[in-house]
Order: sequence, then structure tokens, then C-alpha cells
Amino acid sequence: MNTLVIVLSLLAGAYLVAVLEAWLATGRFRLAAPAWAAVALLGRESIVPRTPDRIFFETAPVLLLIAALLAAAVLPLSPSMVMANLATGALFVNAALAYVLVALLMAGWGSDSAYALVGGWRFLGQVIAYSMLIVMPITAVAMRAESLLTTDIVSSQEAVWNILYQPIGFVLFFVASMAVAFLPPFDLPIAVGDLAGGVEAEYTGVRLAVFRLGRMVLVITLAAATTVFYLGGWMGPVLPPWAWSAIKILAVSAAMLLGGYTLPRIREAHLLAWCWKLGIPLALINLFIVGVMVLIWP
Amino acid sequence: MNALQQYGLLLALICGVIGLVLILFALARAIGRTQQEPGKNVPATAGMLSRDPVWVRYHARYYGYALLFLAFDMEMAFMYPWAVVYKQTGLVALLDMGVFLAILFLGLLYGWSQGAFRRQ
Amino acid sequence: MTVERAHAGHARAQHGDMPFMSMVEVTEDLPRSRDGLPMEWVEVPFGPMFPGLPGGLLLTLTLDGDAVAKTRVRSVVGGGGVLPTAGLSATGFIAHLEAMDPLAPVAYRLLACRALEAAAGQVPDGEIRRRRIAVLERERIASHLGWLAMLGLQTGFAWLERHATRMQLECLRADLPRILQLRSTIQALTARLVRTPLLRSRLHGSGIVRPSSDLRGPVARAAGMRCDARIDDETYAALAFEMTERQGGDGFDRLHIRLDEMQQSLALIQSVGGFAEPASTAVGSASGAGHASLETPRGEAQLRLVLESGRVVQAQLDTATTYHMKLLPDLLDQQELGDALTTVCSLDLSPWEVTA
Repeated sequence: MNTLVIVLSLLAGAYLVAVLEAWLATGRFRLAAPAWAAVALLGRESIVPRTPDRIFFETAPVLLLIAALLAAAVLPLSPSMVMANLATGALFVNAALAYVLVALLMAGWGSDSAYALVGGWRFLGQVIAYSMLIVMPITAVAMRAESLLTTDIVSSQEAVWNILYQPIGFVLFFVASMAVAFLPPFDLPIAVGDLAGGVEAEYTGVRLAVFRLGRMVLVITLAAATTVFYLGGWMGPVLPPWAWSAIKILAVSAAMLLGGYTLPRIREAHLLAWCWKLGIPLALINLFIVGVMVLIWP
Repeated sequence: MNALQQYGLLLALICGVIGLVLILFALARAIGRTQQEPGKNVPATAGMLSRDPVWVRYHARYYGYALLFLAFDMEMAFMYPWAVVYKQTGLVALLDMGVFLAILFLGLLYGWSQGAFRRQ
Repeated sequence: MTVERAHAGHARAQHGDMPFMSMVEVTEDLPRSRDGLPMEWVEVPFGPMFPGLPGGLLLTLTLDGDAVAKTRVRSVVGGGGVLPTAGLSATGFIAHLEAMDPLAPVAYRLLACRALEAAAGQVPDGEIRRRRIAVLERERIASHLGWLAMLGLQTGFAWLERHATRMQLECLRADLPRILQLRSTIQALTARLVRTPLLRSRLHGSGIVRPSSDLRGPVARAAGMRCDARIDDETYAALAFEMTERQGGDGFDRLHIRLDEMQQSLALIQSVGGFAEPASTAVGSASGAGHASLETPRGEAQLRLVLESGRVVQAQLDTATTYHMKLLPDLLDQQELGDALTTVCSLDLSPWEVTA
């Protein structure tokens, strides 16, 4: 029952993200836009390219959706609203998100199309860039919480939220999250102007619908992760815990989408260089600062 | 819920997603099937039909980063358990990991100086 | 080589049924990348209907990984300047040239009018000339805004794409008071683009061109060349026209030049104070040869024509894009795919005006 409620609320969140994205893309706020788009996609033909790696091609969109949902499964919306409160929660988020790479590489390889292939390999480069900036900040969060349980991580922020306790980590994690969800300005694998859609280029109809759904859920999942790790999860005055979670998650995903709207796409060489020359040293400094702070002022 | 049930739940979640996708596929198929027409299944190439197969030896130009990434990714495997017991072990843990990370960071600096951090 | 092959064959025999893949053998015929690695290259068409490129431009890139190893470029819609053998009436010729480039119809219409007038020995009234310039400058603003929208699409800068498209439509329809109202909007746009993070790093150092005789228009001016058909024009001189110029020659300089030119064009329109569409010229049954040149939004275009008893029997057009397309193979060599396409976009090509 709990699981069903959470899955449905995640899907509702993904729907709202899609509304927001359509609003930014077209300039018109229409609550029904994603629903119509989905119906249109279902009604459209779903063409398979002529020499596909069929298994890769069919698996990729589903795997993206599964990866996003699995990561969300360990994130609590309120003290009791969590699908599986694994003892390895924070690590599990990472493990599940690793499959985003696999899904995109499969999509890129599977269709035997040049645009998709370049998109897929580009995302591998992107993963090499952002990956450390996901795991290192999470480690710093776990240090403070003394646990990988996501509920413990939220409770550890009772006194002061992690966004204030470890602001460097928050910034790194937030930016890296946008890169995980390949949101602009990190939309290298699905760039329209560079690759005519990249890994998405060969997907049509219902397969594209599943791919898009997976990406929307991924955005919500990452916003939820940011909320749990840095924004005190369900904590907040007056309103019930689930409401605070919902507000924070939607606000974070809106910030992610809006940030990309006003920026041109980053160059892959710059993304790699900045992540390694600036991001990783900062992440290490963050670990050290948090390490000292945890000992003197938990 | 014990751990086994939790993993069972996650498995059920995966099955649920696959079920949902199958339902969507069935729905799409009920609306209409794909017409087989010549030229339709050629991969997108912005208006030109002819194209070579693209499953080739791909030149990934970020291999310098990728090699260092392996070292860092291994290091992360040690970081998680360390992070959990960090507070109760105290200053020693900070020094332990500090030395380890310092060595790794020196490796990063070395790689940087040798030109690993550029498009090859 | 035969030795190696024989050796590899021997190795295969030794392993019985197991296929043995010798790396030397597998890679010996492959092209070498710049870093010496043997990789396979694929030829990928970008265009003629690619989202990030001007429609009609067919760019065939040989990709070594995600870098451009070879470039072939061609326009599939060009050659529109060619005349039918029977010749054209003056009105027909103007319409023909106007329809040639849908991205800059007014500029070519004006060019045709000027060349016809030169051939027929007519000199239009000064006020008409000034007002024609205003129309041309309005098209320049619209064209540059269209280029900004294209840049927005190419670089995934959604805000720029939407904003510039809207402004371009507004500009195309605008009368004098409306277009002068655009001034503050364009100023705000300029200020914002210069401040936009990532835009500078995206364009800076991409597609650097050095001054050469093949450069025209904003591309040349961004490379520090004094190259503008307007500086020799008396009508412009009377309006106190000053050419803008930058030294770097990269994509960011081209962006700056175009942003500055929009402001400049607005100032020109303001000092003219009215529009006059270049109308068809009554050449009667005049004969003669005429030459005209004009600064289109993409650079100088020249037109030579021969008029025989009121009909244009010969015309020769010289356009900026024809030259700029030749730059591409050298310019794109070894660039990352995204950077290469941004470079193409920053040159602001119009495949329609390619004459060859």
C-alpha cells in the first residue's frame, strides 16, 4: 500500500516536472500538455531501425525507468513513507544511478545510428566527469549521519540542514544531479543542436514515451535525493512531513529545469576539465571540512 | 520489514515497471500497428538516406580521465564504510583517510601534470 | 606485411577452432588519429535538414570518435542566381533575385534594383536611397536576430532561441515607432548575452579565422578586417556610419559584432526616419551593363548584369556564403563535433545564396 502511494506520488511529481518542462519549452502553461503528448506518442508508430541490437534497443528505455525508480525506492518522503529503508540506502542510490549510464549507452549503441552512438559515448564521458561529485558529497553526508540509512540521514539534519552544514557539497551534488539527469546545460547525450536528439533520435512512439517518462522520474528522484541529503527531507514547521517533502522536491526540480533554461550547453571538454580540476579538489576539501566539523560540532 | 523482504519489494518494483511498460506497449499496439514502408527504418540522418554502419572502434577522447577515474572509483568503495564509523573512531579515522586521500590527490596532480586532463 | 599475416595465420592455426584476433592484424588498415591510435572513422551526414544548421546546408563529416576528421560541404538549395536563357524582364529579375534567398529577400531585391538602375543609367532620389537603406538595416536586425535564435537552438540555449525568435518576428512586421521601441529590448539582450555564463566559454576560441580575402561581412569584421560595402557608400557616409570591428576572429567576436551591428542599424533607421521598400524600376527599353554591391546581413554581395532592350540577359552574382563555405574543411578539422557545429552556426551561412 505504502509502496503504491509512493510510486503514484513519484509519477505525479514526474508529471508536474513534465508540465514545467513543456511550459519552459513553449512559453504556455498547460496542465494537460504532457498528457496530450503522451497520448500522441502512444498513437504514433514506434519504428525500429533496420539493423538494431534488438535487446539493447528495447531494454534501454525500460532500464532508465527502473534505475530511476530503484533509486527513489530508498528515499523517504516522510518517516514512514519509504519503500525499502535499506541499511545501505545512500550507497544504493549510487548503485541504481549507475544504471542510467548503462541505459544510455545501450540506447546509443542499440540503434546503429551515428547520432545515437556519439550521444551514448558522450554520456560515458559525462559520467566520468560527474560521478565523483555524486559519491564524494554523499560520503560527507554519511559521515555526519553515521549511517547510510536515508531516514537517519534526514534525522541527522535536525539541528541544521546539510545545505548550511556543508554548502560546498550541496552545490557540487546539485550540479552533478543535473548532469545525471542530462538536463540542460548538461544535455550532451540528447543534444538537439549537436546530434538531432542523440540517444533519443531513434526512439519513436511508445518507446520514446517510456524513455521520456524514465527521464522525468529520474529528475524527480534526483530532486528527492537532494532534498533528503541536503534540505532536511520531510522536516519543516506546521505542514505534515509528506507535504514538506513534496514542496522541497518540486522546488529543487524546478530549480534544476530553470537553471538549464537560461544557459547554453556546456562543452564536453570543459565539463570534464572543470569537474576534475575544480570539482574533485573541492569535493575533497568538503570531505576534510566536514570531517573536522563532525568531530568538533556535530 | 527485514532486509530480505525489502529486496523482494525492489524486485517486485522492477517486475511492476516491466509490467507497466508491457501494458503501454499493448495499448499502443491496440491503437494501431506500425506500417511497413520502404525507407522508414533507416536511422535518422537529417534528410540523407545512405549511411555506413556505425558499430566501429570508437575513439573516446577522454581516456586520460577514464584511467584516473578507475583509481578514484576504487577509492570510493573504501569511503562508504569509513564514513559510517568515522565519528566513533574519531581523529584517527580522519588521519587514516587523510593520508590515503592525500596520496590519491597527489596521483591526480601527477596525472594533471602529465596531460591526462585534456582531450586527447 | 606478408610476414605478419603469415604469423597471424600461424597463431590462428595453433589455437585450433578458436578465432584468434591479433590487434596488429585487426587494426593495420585503419586510419590513424592524430594521437596515433588506429580507429575506424564513420561518415555522417549533417543536413540538409539538421536542427542545429541552416536548412539546405549539407555537411558531410567524417567522424573520428566525436572529432571531425574530414569535412565536405555543399548547398542543396543554392544556385538560385542562375538566369533562364531567354532572359528576364526587369520586374521578373527583381522578383527572381528576391525569391532566391528567403533569408535576406530585401537585400537581394535592393541589389537587383540598384544594378538595374546602374545599367539603365538612372539615379534614384536621395530620400528614396536613404529610406531604402532603412529597410535594408531593418532586415539586418531581423537577420541577426534570426541568427541568434539559430545559435540558441544549436547550443541548447532555450531562452535565447525563444526570445530571439519572438523579437525577429516583431522586427519583421515593425513600422518605425515599433522598431525604435525595440532598442531597449536589444540593449537588454546584448547586456544579458555578454553576462551569460558558459556562453563565452562555448564560443571563445571556437572557429578562429585569420584575415584573408575569402572573408566577408561580420565574419571579416570580427577578424579585424576593414571589410564593409557600407563604408564606401555616400548615403551611409551622410548618415555618419562607422564600421564596427573586433580583433579575435572567433565565435565570440562574431557574436559581439552582430550584437553591435543591431544597435548600429537601429541608430541608422532612426536618423533616416522612414522606410521605402525597393520598388521595381522602370528601365524601359534601356540597354547597358550595370554593377552594384551592397552589404547584406552576411556580407558584401556584388551583382553585375547586362541589360538588352529592357531584358536582363546576363547576371553574375557574388555572395558571402559562397566564400565562407570554402573555409569549413580547414576550420572544422579536429574540432569536437559540438564545437564544429557551433563554428558552422557562428559563420551564419545562407545555403540559398550560394552561387556555384
